[in-house]
Amino acid sequence: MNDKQLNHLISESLKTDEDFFPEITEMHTFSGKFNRNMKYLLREHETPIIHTRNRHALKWWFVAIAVFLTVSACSLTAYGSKTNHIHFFADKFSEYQPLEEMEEDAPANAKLAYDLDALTEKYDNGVEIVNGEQYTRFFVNPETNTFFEFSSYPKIFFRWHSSIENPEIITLGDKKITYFTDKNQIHYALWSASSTVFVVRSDMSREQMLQEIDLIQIYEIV
Amino acid sequence: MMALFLHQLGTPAEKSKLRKLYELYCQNMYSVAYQILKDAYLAEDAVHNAFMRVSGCLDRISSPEEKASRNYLLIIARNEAIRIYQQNQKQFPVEEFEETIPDLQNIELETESREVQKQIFELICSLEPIYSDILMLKFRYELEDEEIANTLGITIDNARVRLHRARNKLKRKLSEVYKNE
Repeated sequence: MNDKQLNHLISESLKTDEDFFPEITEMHTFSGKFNRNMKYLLREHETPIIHTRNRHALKWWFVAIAVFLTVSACSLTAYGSKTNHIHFFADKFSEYQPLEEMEEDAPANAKLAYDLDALTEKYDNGVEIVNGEQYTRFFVNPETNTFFEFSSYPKIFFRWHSSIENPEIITLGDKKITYFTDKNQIHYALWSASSTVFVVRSDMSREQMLQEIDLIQIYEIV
Repeated sequence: MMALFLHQLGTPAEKSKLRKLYELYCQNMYSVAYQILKDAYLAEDAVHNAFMRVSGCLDRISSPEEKASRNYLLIIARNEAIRIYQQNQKQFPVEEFEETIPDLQNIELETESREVQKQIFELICSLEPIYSDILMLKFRYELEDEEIANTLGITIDNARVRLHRARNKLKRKLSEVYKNE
């Protein structure tokens, strides 16, 4: 028997009326999700519900969401490029890991007054924010070239952020900006307005960055 | 996406056919899937996915009531269940490498004989489901390799390899049976 004959034999054998599957009489009660999903599958012009267990359908929803997020990211990037890659993050330093953190059990008010008085006198720079019980002050220590965050809430803590270079205070319109460069030559500018600390980070030149900051009004409103 | 799918589903006749197939074979498809997956929800997923696949090849089904239609749907459901099972196992069964392909040159069979055909049918049914199913799709439903791949949710290359292995496995069984006779 050659291959052609075998193919013919298989073909003829499978064209019989024999049961390829045995008779099945079991009845299953399908879940509500399945019934709903099949209803949408079988009907016409009806908005489907996403079947959470259906990977096939979900896959395409994920693709749609991914496309949406990509387009959004591209739009934001395009917008960011217009502002010369300025990045804002107010009250957030998620990308900084605290290298040392000092927590005090002393009465908050006493300690706060002492520390702030001393620090304010010693380092006449930085920006501060008062938000309810929370008092936060960002400042730089020109002696050690370090960038500090002092906060009174929920506990007093003192956070060292990053080694910096050439800290300076720049007055730009009504903004009193603390400006410095870190060891990676990334420029930072801090100022406060409307009870919010604004932190700007950029890899552009000092002049460019200050020009951009001078033009920034909308961010303060936001 | 689903709306697009429904839009592509086509004519009212096709929708009616799909509905009829659902009414007739949904339970059977579930049972076949459940035997493999042993999980009610996964089996429902397999049935749903199977209907998605069926909807793409409704022209292959002339009459929903025919036994051939039932077999076709159950094959799709079974393979969908196997696919889900393999995905959940995170591994694929390692198939043995067949070093030699049995030579059937010395075997003479009366291909038109009803008895021989029945015996071959039983041999095909005794193969592992993935092999018996692909032989059905190729030789009973006369699907092209690409259509088989779409029906089973595998690549064309996989379909060809699986078909090749299925034929070899059948040859091996044939060789064993007819050498003993």
